[in-house]
Amino acid sequence: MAVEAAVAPLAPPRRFPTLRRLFRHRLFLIGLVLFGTMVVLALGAELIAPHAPARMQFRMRFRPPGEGFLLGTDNFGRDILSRLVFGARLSLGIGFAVVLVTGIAGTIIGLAAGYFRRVDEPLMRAMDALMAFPAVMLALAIAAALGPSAVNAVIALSVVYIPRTARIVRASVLVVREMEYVQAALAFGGRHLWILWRHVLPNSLAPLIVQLTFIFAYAVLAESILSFLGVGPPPPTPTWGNMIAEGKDYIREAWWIAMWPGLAICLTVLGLNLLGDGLRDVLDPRLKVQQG
Amino acid sequence: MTRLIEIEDLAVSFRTDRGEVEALSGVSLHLDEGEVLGVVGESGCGKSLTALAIMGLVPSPPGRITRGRIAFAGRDLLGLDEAAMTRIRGEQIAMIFQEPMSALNPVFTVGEQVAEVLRVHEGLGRTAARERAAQLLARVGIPDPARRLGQYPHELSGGLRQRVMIAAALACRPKLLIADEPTTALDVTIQAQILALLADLQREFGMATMLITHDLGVVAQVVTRVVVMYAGKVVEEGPVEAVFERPSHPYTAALMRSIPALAEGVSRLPAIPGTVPAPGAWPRGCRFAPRCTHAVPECGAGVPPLYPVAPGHHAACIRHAA
Repeated sequence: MAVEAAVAPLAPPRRFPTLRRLFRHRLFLIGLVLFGTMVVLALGAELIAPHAPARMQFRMRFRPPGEGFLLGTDNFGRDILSRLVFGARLSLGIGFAVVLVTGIAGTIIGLAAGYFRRVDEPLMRAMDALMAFPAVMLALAIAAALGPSAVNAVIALSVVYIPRTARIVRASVLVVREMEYVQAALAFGGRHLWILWRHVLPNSLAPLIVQLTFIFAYAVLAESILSFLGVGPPPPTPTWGNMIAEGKDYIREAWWIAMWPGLAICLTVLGLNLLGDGLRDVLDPRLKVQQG
Repeated sequence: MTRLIEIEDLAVSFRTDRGEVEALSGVSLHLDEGEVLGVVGESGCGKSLTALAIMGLVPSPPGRITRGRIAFAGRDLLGLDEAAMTRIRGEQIAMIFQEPMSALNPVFTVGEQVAEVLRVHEGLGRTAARERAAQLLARVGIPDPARRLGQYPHELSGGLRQRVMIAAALACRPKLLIADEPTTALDVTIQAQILALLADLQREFGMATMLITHDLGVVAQVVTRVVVMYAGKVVEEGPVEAVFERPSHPYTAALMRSIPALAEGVSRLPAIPGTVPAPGAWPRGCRFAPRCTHAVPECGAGVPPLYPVAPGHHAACIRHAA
C-alpha cells in the first residue's frame, strides 16, 4: 500500500557526521596528505635519513640531486635529505609547541576576558599592546633578547600569537556566555569555573581549532624566518630556516641547497592552510559565509 | 501557611550610557510554602528581573540591587556571599526557562546534564547520578528514559526538552521553583501537557511555584494567587478568582479584555493602546496613566501605593484610595 511505502524505515543516523564531512572535503584531504607527509618525515627521521645530518664529507660538497644523494649535498658535503627530515622534526616540533602554548594560554586569557567582565578591559588592552607590534619584529626582538635556541623560539612565537588566540576565544565566549544554558547552569547552582569548563569552553572551541591550524602554519613560517636571521636554534642543528640561510650564498651554483627546505616550508604551510580552511568550512559554516 | 519568599521594596538599576536607569522600583511580593503564584505583565515590566533577583543572578555589572530585601525561608538572600548563594541555587530554588531549545547545552547528552545537577549538589557518583537521572526523566513523563539519557538536545522535541529542564530543576527537590515563561515557546497542546505536569509535580513535591507568564489563560489554569506587574512595579495582587472577577487596576482590567473569548464572536479584540514605557522614561505618578482610560489629573500627583480592595486583594490605583 502507498501508506506503507511512505513510512519506509529512516536511514540510521550516521556516526561522526563531522568527520565524514571533513573526509568529503577535497582541499582538506590534500592538506591532510601534505601535512601528514611532513609529520611522517619528521617522526621517522632516523629511518628515512640515509646519512647522519651533521656528517660532513668534503669530497662530496655541492653534489647535485641524484645518485647517492637524492636531494644533493650542501656546502659542507652534508646530505640534504637527511638534514631536511631532521629539520622537519625541529621546525614542526617548534610549530606544535607554539600551538600548544598559545592554545592553552590564549584559551585561559580569552575565557577570563570574555566571561569575567572585570578583567576584560585590562587583559584585552594588554593583548592589543602586543598586537600593535609587527609579528615577526616582536618575535625577532624577544628571540634575540633571550638568545638563539629552540625553547626561546617557542617562547618568542607564543608571545606573538597568544593575543590572536585570546581574541578569538573571547569573541566566542561573549556569544556563548549569553546562551540560556549558561543561565540555566547558573540557576542550577553551578560555580563559575565549573560553568566555564563544562559549558562555555566546549562551545567556544570550534573557531579556536581552526585558528590553531593557521597559527601552526604561521609558526612554521615565522620559525624559519627566525632561523634564517640567526636567532633560531643555532647550527649545526638543521632547521629549514638555517638551511636556507646557509644555501642562499650558493644559490647560483647550487640552487638545491636552499630550494628543498624552501619547498618543504611552502608545502607545510600550504597543507596547514588547506587543513584550516577545511576545518573552518565544516566546523563553522557562518564564518565561511562571512569570508566568502 | 509559612512565608517562603518575602520581597520588600526591591529596586534594581542598570548602568547605561544614559546614566543609572531603574528597572525595578520598589517591588514587594510574597509567596507561601506550597503556593503557586502567577506573575503577569507585558514584556519589559520586570517579571523576569524579579526572578533573577531572587536567584541572585542579576547581571552585575551593569545591574545592581539598589534597595530592598529578599527573605527566603527567613534568610536574607541579598546578604549571602556567592558560595552560599550557589548552594541555594538548584538545591533550594530552581529555575526553568522560556527557551527549552537553548537552555540545554548542545554538546552534552541530556542525561549528563540532569546528572550534573545531582553530582554538583548531592555529590553523587557517575553511576548513581545516572540512575537518579533516569528516574527523574521517567517522573516527568519522558517515555523510554534509558534511551533518552544518551541523546543530545537536538534529538529531542521542544516539549521533551522542557521536560528535561523540569527534571533537572526538580533533581534536588527544591522548595521553590521559578518557571519563567515555561510554555511560551511550545505549541498549545504541549503547553497544556507541561502545565499539567507542573501542577502535578507541585502537588506531589509540595514545592512553591512562581510562574512568570504574560498569558492570563495559563494563570487561570494553575495559579492560586496572582501578582500583576507594570513598568517595574506591582500594580495589583490577590487571589486568582478575585482578580479575575473583579480586576481592580485598569491595567489588569485591560489585560482581561484583551483575552480572546470564542463566544464573543466577531467583535474586534480590544488592545491596550501604546506600549510599556522604557525604564528611565517612566511618567511621574502612576506609570500606567498615559495609557489608562480612567486617567484623571491626580494620577500624575504621586505614585499610588497598593490600596486594599478586599482582604488579600490590593491594587495600586487612586480610585481605590479610601
